[in-house]
Amino acid sequence: MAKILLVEDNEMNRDMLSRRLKRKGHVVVVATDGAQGVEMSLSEAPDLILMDMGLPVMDGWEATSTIKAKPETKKIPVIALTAHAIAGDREKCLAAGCDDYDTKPVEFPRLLSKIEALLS
Amino acid sequence: MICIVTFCNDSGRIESANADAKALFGYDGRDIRHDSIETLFPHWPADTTCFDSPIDLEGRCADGSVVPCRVEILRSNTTSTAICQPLRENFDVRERFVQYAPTAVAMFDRQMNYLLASQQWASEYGLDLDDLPGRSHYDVFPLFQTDPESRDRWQRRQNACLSGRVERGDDEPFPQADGNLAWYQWEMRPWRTATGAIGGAILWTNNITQTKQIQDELYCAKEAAEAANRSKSTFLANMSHELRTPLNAIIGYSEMLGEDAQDEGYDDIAADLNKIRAAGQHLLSLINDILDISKIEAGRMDLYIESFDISSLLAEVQATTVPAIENNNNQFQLSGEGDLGAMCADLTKVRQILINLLSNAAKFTHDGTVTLSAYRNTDSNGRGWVVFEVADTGIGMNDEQIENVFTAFSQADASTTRKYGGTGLGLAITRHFCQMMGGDVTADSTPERGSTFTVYLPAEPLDSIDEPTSDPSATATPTPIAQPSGLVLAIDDDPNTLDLISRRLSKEGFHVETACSGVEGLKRARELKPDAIVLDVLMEDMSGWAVLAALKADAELADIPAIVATIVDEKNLGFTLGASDYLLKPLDNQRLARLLDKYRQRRILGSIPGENRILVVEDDEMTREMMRRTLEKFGWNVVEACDGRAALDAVAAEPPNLILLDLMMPNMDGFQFLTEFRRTGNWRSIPVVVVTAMELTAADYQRLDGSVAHILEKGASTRDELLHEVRDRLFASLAPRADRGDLEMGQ
Repeated sequence: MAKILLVEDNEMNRDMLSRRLKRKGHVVVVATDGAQGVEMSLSEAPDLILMDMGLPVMDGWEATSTIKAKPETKKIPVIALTAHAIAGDREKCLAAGCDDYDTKPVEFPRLLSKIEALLS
Repeated sequence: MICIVTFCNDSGRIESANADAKALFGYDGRDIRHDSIETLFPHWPADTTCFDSPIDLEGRCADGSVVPCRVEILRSNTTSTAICQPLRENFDVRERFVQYAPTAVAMFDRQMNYLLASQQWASEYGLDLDDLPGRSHYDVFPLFQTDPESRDRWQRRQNACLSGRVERGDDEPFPQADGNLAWYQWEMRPWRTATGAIGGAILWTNNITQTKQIQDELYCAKEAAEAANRSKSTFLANMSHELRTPLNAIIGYSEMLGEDAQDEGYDDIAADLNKIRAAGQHLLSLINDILDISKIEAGRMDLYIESFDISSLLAEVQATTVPAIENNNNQFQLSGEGDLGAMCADLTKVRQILINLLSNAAKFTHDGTVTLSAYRNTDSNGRGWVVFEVADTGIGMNDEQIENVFTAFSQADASTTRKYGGTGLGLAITRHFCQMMGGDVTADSTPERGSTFTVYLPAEPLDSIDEPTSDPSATATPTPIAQPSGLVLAIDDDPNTLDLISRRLSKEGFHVETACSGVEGLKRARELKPDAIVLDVLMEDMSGWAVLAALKADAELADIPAIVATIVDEKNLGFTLGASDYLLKPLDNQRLARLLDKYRQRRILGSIPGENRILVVEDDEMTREMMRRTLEKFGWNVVEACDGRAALDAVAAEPPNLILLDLMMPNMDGFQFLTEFRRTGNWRSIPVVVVTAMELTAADYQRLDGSVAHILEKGASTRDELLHEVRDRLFASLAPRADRGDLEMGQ
């Protein structure tokens, strides 16, 4: 099973998502802001990153661009999670280098299939 | 006017005179009975018996003035009646006409000295009518001494008027004695003498202060109302977002617990948890609807147009909605022609439209069938459409219900909400989405039999300009050539703008090729040798100016007219530099000659009367002098201006046939000049050729781009206006080329 880095500042969302992912057999490491997310993408070398976009310190768009700009981490797939189901958000996420995009509240089976698609 | 006077035959004394007679001779209110008839007619003949036909006699008025009359004399035994008609009115009708004209109007000589003014003019401005003739307009109004700018403005208008132009304005501010500002609509036009020479100006003004006040108030009220509506929508959007966050936890945790409960065999708890989850999800969909409708109302709903496969979409929608449809023991049917291929629209919105309609169908149908079908259609204009149909065998609607079905916050009736839930927003959102994409949705229904909703969407996005709502005057713009067939290269780094420009121009019959960067643009220009280039100046990789410089430096491309156009999409602002052509410094005489030839030809084609007047706007004296000499050699009459301000004055004094414009100048630079220049509608036909230095440094580019950005900030025109202007300039640039092309082919 895969090692997933979850970057999310909201405690409940973090708890919920990490527990559900763990139940599916994944190893989950968590970061609570964008800067920490960038650090851990290097130190933890995860197989996949779930990135909230509205993050403190460094937002998800910037964190993703930073991760995608580093040769060591640029191959790690990033799925953006945003609470805004606003047209244009998707484009903004993809422009920042995200490989996929999902809206919150997360529909878990749909997110799982996206994760599996990127890991296979 | 018929004057009747009766008098005694013997004494010659007047017995009666009618009102006309008294008015004619100036005896209003005075009794002239018993005066001699000779008071009125000093040369009254001694013997009138022999006059059986009218005679001409000189009448004398009370004030001593003379009025020639034709007099008919009817004699009886004791008295005679004189019926007289003035041969000429004893006042100048035209003078009275001016005096009593129900409007404020004044006539001036060439120096703006008063000749005549109406009474309303005098009362409007608190002037003494008798005091005006001979006095200068600029002395009569103290304002012109205290406000030199307004004096300059009026003198510019005077000059323009004396050169034969009609000047007019809609909102001229004018400080009143009480310190308030009055606003006037005005028109100033030249008057001509019998020989046709311009003798001066006639100025008409109309006080619109009150109208303007009401207008301003209405505008403020409208702004306030819109602001309030925007705040409401923003509040709703923010609120909806805040509501979604806790829902996240409710849905997520109930889902998790539900899975746990199921795994552990607590089926009853799992069912309850599932109810919490379902309620959460329902609440979420309501919030999403509110979020959508508030974004639509706030004008913040954007379209993201992409190409997608229709059949995949149908399969996806089916997978999402079938569980809900089957809940009510319904059957789902998918029908449609085999492979529908791809369409170009906002995928997310089309999906939402179909899911909305299918969820509705599922909600209002029990033990029936819900059918989703899709097919392609072509209208009479050859435009391709994709039609989606959602039909159910549910409760249906009556005519009144159908009428309101797409109105926000309205379901068939209030009881529907209680029975079936929902916000009543789904169909309103559906219709908005359809219309945003250039399509529509219709409903057809029979109570107890079922409903059919039909969605029509263009297979390719419609050009907003295609709609009949676009400015009709723009389409009426006379086009110099009936069948344009030019090849136009559009260079812009924004694909949406490129798409817009190319669709717009294709519609006009141009063949359009595109390039999405400066480098590619140059490459394509060399390959294609287009007839004209539409160029964005604010590009990422290579500034439009650099592209322009490179184009003009290439002998093969230098003659291609380049139209600089920039669209800032977000703000929906557009800007055309408005130049028809470019010359590079140092000037190449051959190219200059060709260019002048082109505009001379165009002038003849357009048959604009007047001489070959050319305005050279250039701050460097030596360059200006040199250009003047060269141009004079080519037979042009050169007028010079050393900066943009002077150029504006020169154009106002007498519009030239062509303008050569330097961009970087003190006081008012070329950009500012063009911005001002473009404001005057009837100057638009004057071609402007921009003269730029070829060796622009990086800093220069920056400065140029900065200038453009600066102009953009001022906000020029809407996107549609810009596109119309680009089109007009293309026609203007290509007309002489096309003609020349024919000539060449003929030889």
